[in-house]
Amino acid sequence: MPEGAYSYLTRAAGLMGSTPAASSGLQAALSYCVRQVRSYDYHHYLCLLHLPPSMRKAAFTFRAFNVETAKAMDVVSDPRTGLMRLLWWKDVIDKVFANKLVEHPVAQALSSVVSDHKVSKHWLKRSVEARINDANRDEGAIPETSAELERYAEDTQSTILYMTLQAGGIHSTAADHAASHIGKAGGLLLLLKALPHHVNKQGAIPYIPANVAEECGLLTREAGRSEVRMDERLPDAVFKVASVAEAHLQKARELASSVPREAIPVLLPALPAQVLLDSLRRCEFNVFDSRVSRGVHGISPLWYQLKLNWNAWRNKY
Amino acid sequence: MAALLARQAAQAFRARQTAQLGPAASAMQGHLRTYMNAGTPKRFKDDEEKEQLAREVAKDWSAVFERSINTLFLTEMVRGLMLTLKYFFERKVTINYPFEKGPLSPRFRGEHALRRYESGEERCIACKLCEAICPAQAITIEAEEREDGSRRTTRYDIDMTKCIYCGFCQEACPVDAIVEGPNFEFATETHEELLYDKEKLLENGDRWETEIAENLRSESLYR
Repeated sequence: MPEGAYSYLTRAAGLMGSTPAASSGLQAALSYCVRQVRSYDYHHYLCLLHLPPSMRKAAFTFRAFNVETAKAMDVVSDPRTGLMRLLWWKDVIDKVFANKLVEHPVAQALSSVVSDHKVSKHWLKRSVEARINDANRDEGAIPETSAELERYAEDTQSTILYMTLQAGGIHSTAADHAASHIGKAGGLLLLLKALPHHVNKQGAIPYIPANVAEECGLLTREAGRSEVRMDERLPDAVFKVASVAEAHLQKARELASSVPREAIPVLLPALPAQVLLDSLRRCEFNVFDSRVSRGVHGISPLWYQLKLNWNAWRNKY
Repeated sequence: MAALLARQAAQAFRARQTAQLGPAASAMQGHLRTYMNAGTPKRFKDDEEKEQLAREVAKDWSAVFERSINTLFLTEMVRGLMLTLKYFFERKVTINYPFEKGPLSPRFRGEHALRRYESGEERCIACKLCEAICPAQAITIEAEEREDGSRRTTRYDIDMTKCIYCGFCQEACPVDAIVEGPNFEFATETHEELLYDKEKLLENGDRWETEIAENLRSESLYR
């Protein structure tokens, strides 16, 4: 590395200390977050566009953080490498809350959000820790009960909604309660939709809980290890998990009357969950059907946007 | 070659057969001679005799074998030529390599590159995870802190002759800075040219950014 180029970069970085340059750095970081969410999480990206501008910055940052941690295990061939990435993100949270500089656009956006709004550290921690625990499971191990799977879904998905509500200054138990249910439903349905991917990657079905598999007669236990068989009864198991998700969506809708009006746009992710549930139902809970992965959750993007706008306009989720 | 061998085998077989059939054949010839002596011209008789003989011979196994071999080889040859003709008209499967390239998987692991953010800032934050995970220990990193407190590498060397192209560095990198790009044409004449430094890696990143970004693109989340 020639000295000239390096000293030039250092000087450029030194200049960035002044206010306009720093804000342009933040701008770049935020636009990186938006781009990440758009390319990885398109249905949530469309939901976030309905948020009031004051909450968008925080919401996009949390979603981008979720993208980064969620894909950590999917870009690696060895689970230990993925674990390393997740632990790095855990360190990043500590550094962000200790006001240290981390050179990653998502971390920069996160530290800006944390300094602007009051965001609890434990939600972020909980999200990463749930993913670390998930990555730490033995090869081919499956969750014992559907409650365990729900907890994972809540830790990874509901926490994003909690933090968005918190950053938007909405303190309502009903909204938090609805967010919990919506996150659980969304998380469970995402795991169901991703089942073909996990089967491809691991050669076993990882996210069907043991108790559901046993009810459907799909569970084989040998030498202390339980495994979900793949046969024509798999749609039954998928149906059972999807019913749990649907029950959560119902409970969230029952709370709709007591949820404050400004919290409704935050809870819009109930719609993609519902859409995915409908698509699954249409192909009789066969997750391997290619219709589920077509378009946005199995429906055309235009139709999805229309539904979303309709719901946003009617103040429903 | 095969035809030659077959012919030799057939001849050897025929010689053995005549030896075996010796007495019977001579008896038959004697009978023929007495029959043919009954008044027809000698020359014509000889021809007839030959023809008769040929017909007799044609019935033995080796001649049948040879004749059918000839037929088979001829049809084989025609079939072979037909195949040639067919591929003459079909689309070519070969490509004009240095000018045309074959398809590459998006996961292809070729020459390394260090990427930048769109703002032009380099991504690498000198966390040294790639250095730690590299099984061939091909990566060497030295880092220092800048004036604004950000960590950057002062030295990022990859010995491309040690590298085994396993892609672990790319998997370990939390900021997607080091990647193995789609370039596989970086052969050099000397060893020294394959000891890449940071400048060369960043230059690679600038040159291949479009392709790398396209290859890294994924459409959805799975967890």
